Amino acid sequence: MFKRKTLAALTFTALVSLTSAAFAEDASIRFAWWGNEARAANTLKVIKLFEEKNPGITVKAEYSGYDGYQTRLSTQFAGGTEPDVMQVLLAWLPMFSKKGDGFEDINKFSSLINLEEFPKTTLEQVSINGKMQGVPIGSTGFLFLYNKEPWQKAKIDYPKTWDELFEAGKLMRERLGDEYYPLDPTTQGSFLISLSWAMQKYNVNFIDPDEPKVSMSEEQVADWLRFFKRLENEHVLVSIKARTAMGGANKPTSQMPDWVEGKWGGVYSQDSTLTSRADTLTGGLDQLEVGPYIMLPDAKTAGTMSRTGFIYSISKHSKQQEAAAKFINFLTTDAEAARIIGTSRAIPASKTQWDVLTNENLIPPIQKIGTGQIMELDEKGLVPRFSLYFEHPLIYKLLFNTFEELSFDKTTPEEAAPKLIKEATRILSRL
Amino acid sequence: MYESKRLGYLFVLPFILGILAFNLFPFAASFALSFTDYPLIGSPTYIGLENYEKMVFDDDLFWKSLTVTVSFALIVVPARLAVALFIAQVLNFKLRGINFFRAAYYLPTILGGSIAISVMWKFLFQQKGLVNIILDTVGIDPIPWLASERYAVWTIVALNTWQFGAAMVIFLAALQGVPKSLYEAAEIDGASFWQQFRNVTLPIITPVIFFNMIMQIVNCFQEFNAPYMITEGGPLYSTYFMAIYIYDEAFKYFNMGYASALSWVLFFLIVAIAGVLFWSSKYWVFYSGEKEKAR
Repeated sequence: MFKRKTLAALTFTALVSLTSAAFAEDASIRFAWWGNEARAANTLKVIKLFEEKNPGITVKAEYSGYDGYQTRLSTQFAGGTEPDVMQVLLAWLPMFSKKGDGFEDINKFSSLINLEEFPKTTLEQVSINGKMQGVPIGSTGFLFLYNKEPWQKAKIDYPKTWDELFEAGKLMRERLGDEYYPLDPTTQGSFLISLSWAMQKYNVNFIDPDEPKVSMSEEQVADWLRFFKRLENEHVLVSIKARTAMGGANKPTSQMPDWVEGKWGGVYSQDSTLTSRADTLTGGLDQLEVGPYIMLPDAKTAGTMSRTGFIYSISKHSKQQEAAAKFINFLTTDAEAARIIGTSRAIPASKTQWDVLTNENLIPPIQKIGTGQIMELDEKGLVPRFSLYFEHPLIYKLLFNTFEELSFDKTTPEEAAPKLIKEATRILSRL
Repeated sequence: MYESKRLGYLFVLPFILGILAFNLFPFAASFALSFTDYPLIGSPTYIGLENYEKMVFDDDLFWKSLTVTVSFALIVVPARLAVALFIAQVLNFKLRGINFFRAAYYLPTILGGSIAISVMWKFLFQQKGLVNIILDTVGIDPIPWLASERYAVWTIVALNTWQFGAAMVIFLAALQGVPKSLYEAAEIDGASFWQQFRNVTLPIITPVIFFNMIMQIVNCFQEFNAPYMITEGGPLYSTYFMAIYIYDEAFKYFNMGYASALSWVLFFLIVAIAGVLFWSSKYWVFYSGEKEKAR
């Protein structure tokens, strides 16, 4: 009797210890990202694969569209309840981690994340005060992406110079009608396409890439704004005013009916968004082509904004930081993960994933051309550096207000330029 | 007796705890935060009245959003009350199938505040939307509803006026409570329908008009969903309501201290307007039995 009781007690104790050991190894992490449906579907598949390969770690997906993502994240940050792993836009670093103490330092996990996979300069870009804020996902750059249909219909070649672009605006209107435009710049694209021209002309950026101050003179800014106004007036860009009437200045191009109907000849946007632009076109990616990067003769810079778009960061409040680091390593450096994710985020920054995608021809040809174009410009030293502050929400708001007022003829470039410099200086001094 | 009292307190305890934790505490905390510079991530720093000074003397956007909000309330409150009273009056008649119409007119209120309806509204009023298609068929040029400083706010006004159902139901109940004998007496005296409405109905339902007015003012000053979804506060800030400004400052630009100060100004504004209305009510709101009490 005694023996049976002892045996039962021992079995029970062993079971309890085994169960608690299993619980001790179990880790559940939350992972948040934004993106389109294709990105969500691919990411969910990768999560499943990771869980299969790492029994004991479960990943809870928290995904949404871009709208509201940052708001939700900031609220969670305030309460210390942000996800263990989160996709973060590099431009948010001045807000979330001004001194480099907002996210866990990735250097602490160098045994779990293979940092040698990434170019040193990219890792420096994502570090503040020597603390690595996240693992780079990939680089993106702005380029001219065209829907070939209206160009073929109007019998116009893709422009190589700014003069040819203005000519295309005129011809497209004459040959196809008032609703046809060579480019939909989107709001951010409005600032950037005209800034690209201004930088090609003056070889200076609006905000100094090394310190938070305005680098352009008043005349240079006025010229930048005049050029934007000319692009709108001469029917090259779909105006901010026209976009507003169609249901939203900030609405993504792929959701605009005129883009779907093939009335807009192209977009000035990031190569990482190529696939999402094609989502609503009947011909999909086959309907799109990358045009030559439009340059001024003898320009010393292309003026395109190319940078590490976003990173995966680890929460400082996470209780499962090691599991989070393992997961990030899988997402960014694993070959199988690369095959699933493809280019739905960007062309991957890690060597292994880049090799897998290129060797196995997993990069859509158009994406290859786009990324190749940015890389070529970069090799020639034509890609300028941009300040992180350029994409700060307050600077974005200021630029949006200025360009909106110009579009609605509420101000002139000459009036707006000193105001823009004064306000930007005030904001930058506070940041 | 003591036992049942204790049980009663126990039953309401969760509610009281909820009020304390989710209403009163944030309420008090936001007042304290309004005197700080609080970047959301990081600790708040006490800056005295700086947020309020900035608001009054150095923030054009505050005045713009305040003007938009007040103008909106001035248009929507009377419009919604008038429409609600008119429809309630019509639905007060004893007609066949009246219950169906009562439900039908109440429907927009159930749907109205939702995001889906705001999205639908946006589609109706965009350049190639249904409203412009209808205008086009009668020979009127399309109107850039969403891209015009002049018209954008009217799309929000239209949506809000359309949501008159809640006020209508309350008016309907009040109208049904007006004693029939008063109408009979008025009719014997030869009063027309309009005279009856003006001299009998209106004075008797003034307490309900007053109640609806207060409720609508509070709602209008807190309007957020429709302008955020339909016009995003634009164009050129023409639909930039106080609630959107507070939201932007708090969650887009991380100025939680300033957003708290803006919230308190909005709160005081609503309290002040409600106070004026309460004070004025003694001149135009009639409660039954008041005269008897005075005697």
